Amino acid sequence: MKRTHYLKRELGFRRGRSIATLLSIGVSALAAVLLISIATTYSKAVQAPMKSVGADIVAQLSGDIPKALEGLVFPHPNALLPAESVSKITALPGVVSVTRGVYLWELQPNPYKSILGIDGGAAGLDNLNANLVAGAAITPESNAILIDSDYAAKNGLAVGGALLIGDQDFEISGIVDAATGGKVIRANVYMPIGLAQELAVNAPRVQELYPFGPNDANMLLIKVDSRDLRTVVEAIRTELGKKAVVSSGLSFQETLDSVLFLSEKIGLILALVVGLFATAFVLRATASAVNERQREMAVLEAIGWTRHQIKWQVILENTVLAVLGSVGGILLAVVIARLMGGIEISIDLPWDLSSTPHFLPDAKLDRTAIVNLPLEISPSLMAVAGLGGIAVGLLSAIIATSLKRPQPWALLCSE
Amino acid sequence: MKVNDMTDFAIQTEDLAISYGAVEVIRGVSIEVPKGQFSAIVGKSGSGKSTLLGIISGLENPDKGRVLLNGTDIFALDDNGMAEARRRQIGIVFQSFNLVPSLSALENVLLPVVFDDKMSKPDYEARAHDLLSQVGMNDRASHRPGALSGGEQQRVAIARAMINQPTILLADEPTGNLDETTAAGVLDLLTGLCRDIGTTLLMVTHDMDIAAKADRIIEIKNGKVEQ
Ligand SMILES: Nc1ncnc2c1ncn2[C@@H]1O[C@H](COP(=O)(O)OP(=O)(O)O)[C@@H](O)[C@H]1O
Ligand SMILES: [Mg+2]
Repeated sequence: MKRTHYLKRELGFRRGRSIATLLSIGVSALAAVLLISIATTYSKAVQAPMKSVGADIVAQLSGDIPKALEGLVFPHPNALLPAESVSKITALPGVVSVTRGVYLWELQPNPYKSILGIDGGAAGLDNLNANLVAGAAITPESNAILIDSDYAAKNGLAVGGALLIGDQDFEISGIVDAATGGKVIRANVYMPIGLAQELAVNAPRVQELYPFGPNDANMLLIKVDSRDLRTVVEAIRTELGKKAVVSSGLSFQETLDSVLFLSEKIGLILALVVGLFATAFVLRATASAVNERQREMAVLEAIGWTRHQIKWQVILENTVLAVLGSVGGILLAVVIARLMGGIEISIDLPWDLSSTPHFLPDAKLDRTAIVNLPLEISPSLMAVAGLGGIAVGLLSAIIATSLKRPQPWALLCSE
Repeated sequence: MKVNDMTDFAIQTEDLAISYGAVEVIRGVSIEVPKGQFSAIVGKSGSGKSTLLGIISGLENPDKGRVLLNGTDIFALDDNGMAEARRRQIGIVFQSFNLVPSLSALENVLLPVVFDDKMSKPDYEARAHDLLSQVGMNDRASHRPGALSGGEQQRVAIARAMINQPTILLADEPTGNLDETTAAGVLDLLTGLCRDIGTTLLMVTHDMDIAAKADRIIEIKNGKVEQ
């Protein structure tokens, strides 16, 4: 007979207690894994709006209101960014790429529209072209524009048609569904930055406030090394001064933290509390199980097992239960996560990130972004939960078997 | 533990003493048990017989004195040495059987040798079956203790004590929980098995009829050997 055979017999014989230990470890592994995965999913949600932009930081500068609300103007949060500041920001350590944008509103006499001119590249035209639902993509050299699908539908515009901006007709090259790309930096009309710069240079209401030149911008989409996010955000704030409008995942974090009860931190704390209770429970269960078996342990000693062998037999039994319980709990958590599918989170977007004029009621944009994130249980979380469960079982067994035992003979003589 | 052939005694105790709180239960006991014989420890209930046997088995620590089994001081042995001595040299039979409830009769008999490599596993199994046959329990080999009567459990316990053919068998009122006819059978078995392989049998009993069958009688009174 092998010790593993004895172990199996023992676990099977004391089925009630085995199941109780198994369940306590399993349920706590399950609870910890689910809580942490829900919490991390929520914390990922804050990155979703910026992800749709394809950048980590949006830098703007708030400016002045034009004397008359007519023609092409810069929205209030989109003042001219000094060329010097732009090159300083581009040179900041941790900055991977900078995509420039020119954001414009066109007011009366033409119908209201928002216009975004943007550089080429991943966070710029490529990102828009990726959401094309009709027509053809545009390049930085194009003379044509893309329009938003909602705007196209409302105004009966189609690919191949033209749209009047200022006193110029622009050919509609394609239609993009920006809604699927998120609602951040959303405009009715998208064009290569060169065209927008030209519009701004020739717009009297822009020029009356800013010395905007043909190479200037009023918005920057910045990609950074995620480790440097905080320092880059700080550096940009310093560079742009008091009027800086700097948006990043960090800003959503703040808004979300106040709304969500399950932030990553609270999830961790909850998981910790669950873990602590489970540890206490398992420790208690193990201690009483070991106590129940004092006599059997005395028998083993009487027939020639060493104290060491006896102790490890009991520890091994508990470890087997801990392994089975942890694995079972984690598998169940994965199944539950699958069944739940994902979590839907709605996030309020700041006005600055896709400004629409408040004075035009019909131009208002729905500012809640609904983010649907799949509930995922990462392998590392599974590993940590599994090892944690096993460690709890192992440790409680080591503690329980290390407690002082009565002399074996008295146990063996009792009825 | 090595068998010391220089001594004629299987068991020697020197001036053993133990107290529980203020009660002195064993008070200076020195005995010598010759090899290969059946010795009985007798005395009234509460006189300290079981306690003495416990100390001799090494499962109870005396406050004072030494125990030599086949010439070796057992309390000088470490965990491993003590376990090896109990596994290879000593068999113990209790009044309350002390079988492991989760294991079958056969598995209980094999439990002492789980870590033993003196023989191969199949050899141990063959011997276990042989012992169970000798105690009349081989047809019940797969039964758990819970499904066995007291007499049957004690027969299995005797087989377990004999698995490594010990030189010393310690028995504490082995028939104390059995009715008279069952007791007689169990006793014959125990003495017979020990005689067959020359095992020294030291049995605690308060039954003078049983003691009468012993080669020697040691009487304990108030924690001392009555001369
Ligand atoms: N572990 C113990 N703790 C306290 N008292 C004990 C213990 N073991 C035995 N005793 C006491 O020692 C005395 C002798 O007990 P025991 O050796 O069992 O006697 P016997 O076997 O001769 O009937 C009894 O009074 C008993 O209560
Ligand atoms: Mg007794």
